[in-house]
Order: sequence, then C-alpha cells, then structure tokens
Amino acid sequence: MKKLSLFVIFALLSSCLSPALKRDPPNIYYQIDKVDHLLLTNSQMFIQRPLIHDDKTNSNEITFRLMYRKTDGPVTQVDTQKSEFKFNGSIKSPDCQNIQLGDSGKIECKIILSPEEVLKLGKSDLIGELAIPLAGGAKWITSSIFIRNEDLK
Amino acid sequence: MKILKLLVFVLIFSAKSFASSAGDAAVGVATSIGIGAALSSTAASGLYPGEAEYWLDPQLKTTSKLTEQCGMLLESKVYQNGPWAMILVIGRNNSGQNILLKSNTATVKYDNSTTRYFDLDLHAPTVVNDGVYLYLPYKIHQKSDFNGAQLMEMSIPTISVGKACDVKINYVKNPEYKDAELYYNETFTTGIHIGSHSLSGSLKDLTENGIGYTFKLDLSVFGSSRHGMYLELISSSTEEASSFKSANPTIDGDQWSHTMTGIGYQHRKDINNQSNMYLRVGSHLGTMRYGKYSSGPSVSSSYVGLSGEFRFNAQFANIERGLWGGKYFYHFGADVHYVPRIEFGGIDYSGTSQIILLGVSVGM
Repeated sequence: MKKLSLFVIFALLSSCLSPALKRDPPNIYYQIDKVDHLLLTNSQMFIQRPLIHDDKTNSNEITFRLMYRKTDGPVTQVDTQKSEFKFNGSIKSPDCQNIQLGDSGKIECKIILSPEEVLKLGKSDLIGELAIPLAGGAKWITSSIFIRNEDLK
Repeated sequence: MKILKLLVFVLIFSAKSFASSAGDAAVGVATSIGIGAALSSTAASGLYPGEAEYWLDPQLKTTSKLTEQCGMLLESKVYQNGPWAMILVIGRNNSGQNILLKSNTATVKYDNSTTRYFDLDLHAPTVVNDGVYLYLPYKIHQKSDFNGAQLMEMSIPTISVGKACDVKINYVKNPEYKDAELYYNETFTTGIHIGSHSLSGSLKDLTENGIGYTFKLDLSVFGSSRHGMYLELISSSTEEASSFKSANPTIDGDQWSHTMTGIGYQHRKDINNQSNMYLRVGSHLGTMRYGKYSSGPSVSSSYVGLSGEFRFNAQFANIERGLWGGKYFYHFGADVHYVPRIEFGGIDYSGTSQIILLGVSVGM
C-alpha cells in the first residue's frame, strides 16, 4: 500500500510538472531594432518550443518568429523569399511566410537541419543569424538566433 | 503580506527591471541576454503567464505592439495569469540621451471610463541610459477590469531629451474573444479550517465513540486557472478507546490523536465570479498517537494513505490594494482519508476518516 501511495504521489507530481517541462523553450537574445522605418523584434521567437524532430529522417525543423511594424516614412517591404539563415559557416534558405496586417506583421521562418548539420555543430549551441532583405536588397533586417545544444541532440 | 505579494509577483512574472545605470555597449548586450533569459525562464515555468486573449490580435496571434516614442524603441505585450494581468514593456533607449521613465504615475485607461494607476508597490521612477534595454512589467490590479472594455490605453509619462513626453500604447479588444466572464482566479491560497471527524471501519475501535474535532491548515498553488497542487496539515483528536486504556495503564491521559500531512492534485471549477469549487485527490502521511501531547509515555504508529476532498468557496471580501490585499473566502469542505493499515498492539486496523470542515482562506 505504501508503494501504491508513493506511486500516486509521483504520478500526481509528474502530471502537474510535465506541462512545465514540455514548455521549455531555449534562451533568446532579445533584440529590438529599427531599419529603414521598420521596427523589428525577436521576442516572438520562442514563445513555443521551436523544434520539431522528425524520427524518420532524423532531422530537426526549427521555427523562428519575428514581429515588425512600419513607422512613419516611406513604404518599406520585406522580401522573405530571399531570406538567409547563417550559422556555423553555412548558409541555408529558410522557408518564410509573412503575415501582414496593416502596418504590423509577423515573419515566420522554418529551416530544417539534417543529421549531418547537427553533427557538424558538435557540442556547440546553434548560434546563427536570420537575415531578411528589404525590397530592393540594399538593406537587410537581421536577428540573432541561439538554441541550446541539448534541444538538438 | 505586502512583501509576500511582491515576492510572488516577482517570481511569477520575473519582474526585474533591467534598466541599467551603466550605458556602455557591453551592458546593453548583457542586458539583452538577461531579458532573453528572463523571457525564457518565465516561459519555462509552469506558472508562465499566457498572453491575454482579450487583447490578442486574432490574425497575428499576439498582443505584441511595436512603437517608437519619446526616443525609445518599445514593444509591449499583455499577459495574464491567475488574478493578475500585466503589460510588459521591453525596449531600448534610442534617443542619444538618458530618459526618465515615471513609471509610478503610469496609467491604464479603458473606454468603460475606468482609469487606474498600476500597482504602486512595484513601480518607481527609472532612469534608462542611452542605448540600454529596459524590461518593465506593469501590473494591472485585476484582469476583471477588462470586462466590457473595447479599448485600452496605457500611458507612461517620461522626461525625454529634456522634454515631457507621454508614451501611449493602445489596444483594441479581440473581436473573436468570447464574452465569457473574466474570473479573477487566485494563484496562491492559504486557509484555516475547523470541523469534526468520524471514523469508520476498524479504525473506529481505536477511539471511544469514533467522533472528534479537527483542525486543518492548507496551502494551494495553481499553475493554471483550473489545475494546481495542495499541501495540507490536519490534526484530529478525541477520547481514546476504554479498552485500550485499560490494556495500557502506563499511558498517561486518555486522548487519541491523528495527524496527517498531505499533498496532491486539485481541480478548480468556477461557479461565478464570487464562488468556486475545489476537487482534490492525493496522498498523506499519517500518525496516530495515544497519550498526552506535552509529556509522558505514549504509543504511536504511522502509515501512508489516500485522500479526497470536495470544497466549496464563497468570497466575502476582495481587497485590491495595500497590506491586506487579496481575495477572502468562507468555505465548506468534506474530506475522506483512507487508512489502508495501521498497527497498534499487534492488531491491524483500517478504515476511513471523514471530516466536515468550515474555514476561511485568502487567495492572491
């Protein structure tokens, strides 16, 4: 009976704590910047756990979210199709979507890291930079990315 | 109470102001990492406050507002958890000069004619040096203030570049928000209860008549509006069985006592904004004892058992501010505690202890 009771306590604690453990996004390096009348923040980056691991291909899909807002000035457009994700000497093309509502918007970019790319990271945390060009390509908006290595391995 | 209130708020919302007095770039970098870490640590907590659906942009799925005002790049979000809501303002001084944020006179105004200061216990004027990040949670007294509001305007007076300048941030109610009542749920509660117990099964043989009085203290914490955990300490006593007394003449006194220390899960069901119910299931460590508490020979035995409880809570006071700020309840509770086996004098006893309790509690 003692074992049963201890099991009940353990089960109760686990059920209460597990949602907290599952919601454990990585640290972020908070940024707020202004480029060409465009305010940009990365605080939306990891509101939810950004990693989805595909067991079949052993790859990791990572989602980055950025918020932006146009301030007074000439119209500025982002060109998400030419976005780049730079990390550890490599450049990947993320799959980005721009959800725009009036002057505000959210850019959501997904990249897939292959098992080889994860191996290449070694014991390092993934540190990279998401760069999205403004229309015309003369200027880029950028945001730093940091993911705990243990989330990838 | 005031210190506890502050501590709880600080813990839940990581209410740290990262506005630093040093203005160099290294501090700015460290501060931005600190903000990121704080955002991450609050998100990692089970008590993580979610963005307030009431003010959510239904298309962008966020309450985030970006603005450049009074020389600062600012982002604000509306969060809520338990009884509280807050507007988190983060950003960077981009003016080239230091800025004085007069947070102690910041206000939130609703179109339903309510204007409130934020919690003055938590805010003071802050100097934000050039290039330095700031991270300021502005606590709204009760999220029930939102009820009926279509617009919300936050105003923070500042002295920027030598001039008075008010930061204004406006929110519009989420048109998809279902107009359900916004309950002011407490995150922590603590209560004191008195009542009576009755024993059933062979446990009844341990006492003279199986009925006695009970005293209980409990502490609850809710990680969400419905789910939480509780800790409780229960003490019951009554007259010991005469058969036990005659068989153990060396035991001083004629009292039988039962203490239980319990832990478990609890579910909260709101009935309306003034009352709710708790359902609890858990386990407890119990000790039964014969003899005086103070001194003298005694006999005791321990066990591990299971507990269940129903509790009805009715609010009788709601003090929004100050030292005694909190939500006060009367409550009625019914507990059942199962004792699988306990041994006295080589004989095993088992059964249940049923307890009826009345009490008061305070939640915040």
